[in-house]
Amino acid sequence: MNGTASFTEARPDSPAQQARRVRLNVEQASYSFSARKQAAPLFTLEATTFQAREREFVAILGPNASGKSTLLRLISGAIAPLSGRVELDGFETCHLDARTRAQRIAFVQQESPLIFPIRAGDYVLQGRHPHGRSLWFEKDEDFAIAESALAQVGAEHLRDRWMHEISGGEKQRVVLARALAQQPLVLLLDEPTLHLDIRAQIDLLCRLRHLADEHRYTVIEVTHDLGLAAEFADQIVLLHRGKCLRVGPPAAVYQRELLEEVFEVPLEVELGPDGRPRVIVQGRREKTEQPRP
Amino acid sequence: MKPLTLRRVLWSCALLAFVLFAIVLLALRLGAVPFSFADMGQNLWWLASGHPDKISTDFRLIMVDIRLPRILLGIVVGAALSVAGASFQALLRNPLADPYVLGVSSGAALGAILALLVAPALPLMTPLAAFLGAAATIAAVYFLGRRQGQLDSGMLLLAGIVTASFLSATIMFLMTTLASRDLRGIAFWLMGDLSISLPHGLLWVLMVGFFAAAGAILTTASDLNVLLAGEREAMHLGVDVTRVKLVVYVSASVLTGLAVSVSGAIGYVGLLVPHVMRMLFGSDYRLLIPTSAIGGAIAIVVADTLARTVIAPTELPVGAMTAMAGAPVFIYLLRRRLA
Amino acid sequence: MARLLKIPAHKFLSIHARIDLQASLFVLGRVFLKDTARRIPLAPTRAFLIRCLIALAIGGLLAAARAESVHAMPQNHTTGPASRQVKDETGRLVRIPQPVRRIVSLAPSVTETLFALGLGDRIVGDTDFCDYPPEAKQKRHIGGPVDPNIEVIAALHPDLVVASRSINRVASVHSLEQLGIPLYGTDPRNVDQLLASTQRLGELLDAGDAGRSLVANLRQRLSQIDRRLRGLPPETVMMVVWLDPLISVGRNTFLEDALRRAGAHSVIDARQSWPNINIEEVIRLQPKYVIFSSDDPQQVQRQLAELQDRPAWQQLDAVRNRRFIVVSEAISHPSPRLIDGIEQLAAALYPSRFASKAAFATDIPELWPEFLLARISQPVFAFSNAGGTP
Repeated sequence: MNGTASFTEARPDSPAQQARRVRLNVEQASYSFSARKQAAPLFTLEATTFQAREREFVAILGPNASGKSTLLRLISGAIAPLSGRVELDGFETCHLDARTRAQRIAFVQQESPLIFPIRAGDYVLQGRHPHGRSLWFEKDEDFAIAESALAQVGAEHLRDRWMHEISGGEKQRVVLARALAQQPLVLLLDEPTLHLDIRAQIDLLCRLRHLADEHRYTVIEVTHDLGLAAEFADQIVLLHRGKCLRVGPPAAVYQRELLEEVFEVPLEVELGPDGRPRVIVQGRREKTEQPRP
Repeated sequence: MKPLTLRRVLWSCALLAFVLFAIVLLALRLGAVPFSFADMGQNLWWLASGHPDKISTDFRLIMVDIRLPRILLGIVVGAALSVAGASFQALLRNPLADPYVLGVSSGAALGAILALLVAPALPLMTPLAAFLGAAATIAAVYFLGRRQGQLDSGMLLLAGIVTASFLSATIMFLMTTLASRDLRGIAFWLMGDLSISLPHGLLWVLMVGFFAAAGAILTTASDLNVLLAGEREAMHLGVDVTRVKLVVYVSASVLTGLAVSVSGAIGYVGLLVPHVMRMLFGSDYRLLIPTSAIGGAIAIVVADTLARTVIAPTELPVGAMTAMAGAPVFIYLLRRRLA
Repeated sequence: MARLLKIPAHKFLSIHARIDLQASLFVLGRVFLKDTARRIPLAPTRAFLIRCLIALAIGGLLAAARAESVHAMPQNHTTGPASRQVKDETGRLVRIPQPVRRIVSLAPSVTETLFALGLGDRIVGDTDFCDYPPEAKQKRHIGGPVDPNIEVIAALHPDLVVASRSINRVASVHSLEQLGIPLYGTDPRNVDQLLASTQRLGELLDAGDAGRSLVANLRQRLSQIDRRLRGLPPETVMMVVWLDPLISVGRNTFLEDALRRAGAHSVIDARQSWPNINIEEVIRLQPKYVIFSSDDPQQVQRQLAELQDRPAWQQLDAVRNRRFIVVSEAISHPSPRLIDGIEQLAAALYPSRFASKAAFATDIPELWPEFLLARISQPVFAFSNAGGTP
């Protein structure tokens, strides 16, 4: 990606966009969990509704403990909603068996530690697992797909390197390559930019944008980065303490009072030249001197 | 990145099987009573070609009745322990896991002690009671190690360690307070001893059990590879984590139970052989399971032969030999930072 | 690559076998393989792998079967011209060939008994620890009593193996049984049973007059001790089997019975055979004598010297007044030498009754060599108030 021009085109909710096929349909999905049965629920995600189409980049936005990860797991089908439905191309995700689900949805987690050393190439090859069967060995086709996945994230040179020896940004790209090797329809990412420096963050989000545009993925990411979400996403789902406050394109969701209520910091919202909002965090305000903790 | 193919699996196994065959021949020859290769060759030929009456009595007594069953037992026990060790390392996501970490050996030891107290005269009683003890421990640790209905690696490890300690304490209590003199033999059994004489039918049962359980684990081998990268990742990659963990847990515990009921707790094999095989052949479980099995067989046969011959006619228990050899190997592996 | 492997696979099994195999694997697949509908027909490479595993399994089983068929051949040990079926002292039925010319002994006490019965030249193998009489050391060693080497025993082609339940393992018995080698187990629990056992062994092994006269001699000596001790109350003693931790003897052991015959009464009353005893308990019971059994003079010297430094032990009357008795280890062996040990102990406890035989020991170094021989009418070594000190 050379420059930011390609993704800052105005993306209004045009009829052409609306005519695109709805791939993911989340309808009044809610969830709650408690430490034990019959105990009061520790956390509740209230009924949430939104839709994601192909080639769309959705950002689920909210402060910590607002239910973003829970919503993502509901979408992935790992947990079943207490009420409502989560449908992918008409099938409820929680009712699919794990293999079929893995062939359609790829989930990029926050990383787990690796116990035994593994090369990046083998790691990406694991993404072909949902397409294999028990007692199987990878075919040439699988190697080709893994290779192209690495190419798509620009990490071919990392193929023979050990996973524990590469940098954070490179590792994140390899993990993304593994998700791509699954050849899914939907890419789910749980705070992918968390430990990366700004350059790596922009790089990753550019690639995701490119994947959505050129390769027809539906990308759904969870983040609490206001600025970058506005820059890259087509649709924002704003969550606050388990409630979905608003769904829509960034310009519609980024209203100052709404954001201040959700994030509890003073800020300003401006509309950029490309139609995308920009957020300016105020920091200290002289008018209301808060005592320093 | 060398891709793993079926051919590579088969060639690696063939190579190891060849080494095993050579070691078995050597083990047959060595022992307190010496035989020459010529003698052996001639007698083996007569055996194989269907003239069992021509074999010398000595040969039949010692080779066929004593050494060969013992070597076959060692092969099955070594293979079972290694496969179980490799599986537990994946299941518990811990490179220091060995087959006894979940308390199966202590349960088997308790069963064996109770058998010695109740019915010392029956030779079949000890392995049978030991296996029952192992099975009871497997069930107990399973129920203790669940969290939200699913086996949880951390809980399983804790449950296993606690159960093992409790059972060991019970064993020590029984050994000090009970008056039976037949308990003397238990010390050998606790260290790991292949000199038990089994009815031949039992060896068949062991072999069938081994192939069934190891086969089950082999079918989940590619799932285990993915499971090692993380449980949640594995689930999102299409692995039925609950089923895989259950199959691996039960199969590996059954393998351990089978091995321990006949030979006591032979240490270090289940821990080290998988690591050595990883060094030689890589971490892919589709290759690791079969090579660990054959590697474990080789290790036990070598250790047992040494135990039989080092200070003949006195026999060391096999467990003592594996401990003596195992500790330096373990230190070496630690220093290469592979464990 | 897959194609290369496909060809040999089809050669191994006939078409019917393949269909049967795939059907049975389908059933197995329900259990182990998920989503079986998409797996039938199995891909050739995996099918090959599964067939290899099954072939290996069958091959292994066949090998075991072969070995078993050879094993099932008739043994030519005990179905000789003559054999007797007897019940040994542990309740097992044993078929002993007649005559018995080659004996293997699995315990030092058994070796001693056999030599005392005059059967020493028939012994072809004994344990590493059989050192009495000295000829026993020349015999072929078969390992220790707890871990005998089955191969060596088998290679010696014994007619009978004699074991002692108190020291041999059940597993060794099973191993030898399975090879068809007759094994006779002795299990004397007290002195009377020892004499009966010795007599029986003599009869079974055709020791002739030597056996009968030996037992008669031993009985006579025992009754003599009984006579001399008649009317005397037993002396309280504590027998020290091991010093650290302190282990003594419990009820129903051989050793306890031997002590009783020698006119001693062990103050320790425990159900375990070799109980760990707390020194405070001993202090409460205050035995009159403390007994050690050892054939090693230096070890006893060291132990006794050490006891002087232990304040807990100094609270024992017997230790303060140096009322120690050291007897030969013969007292703990269920063999004919046991009677020697009982005599020694009785003479030490009641020197006045055995005055004709015992000599008071005042000078330790001179007496050690004689003591070690542990034959009858040797003076026993005892400390006393009036006696000398080391």
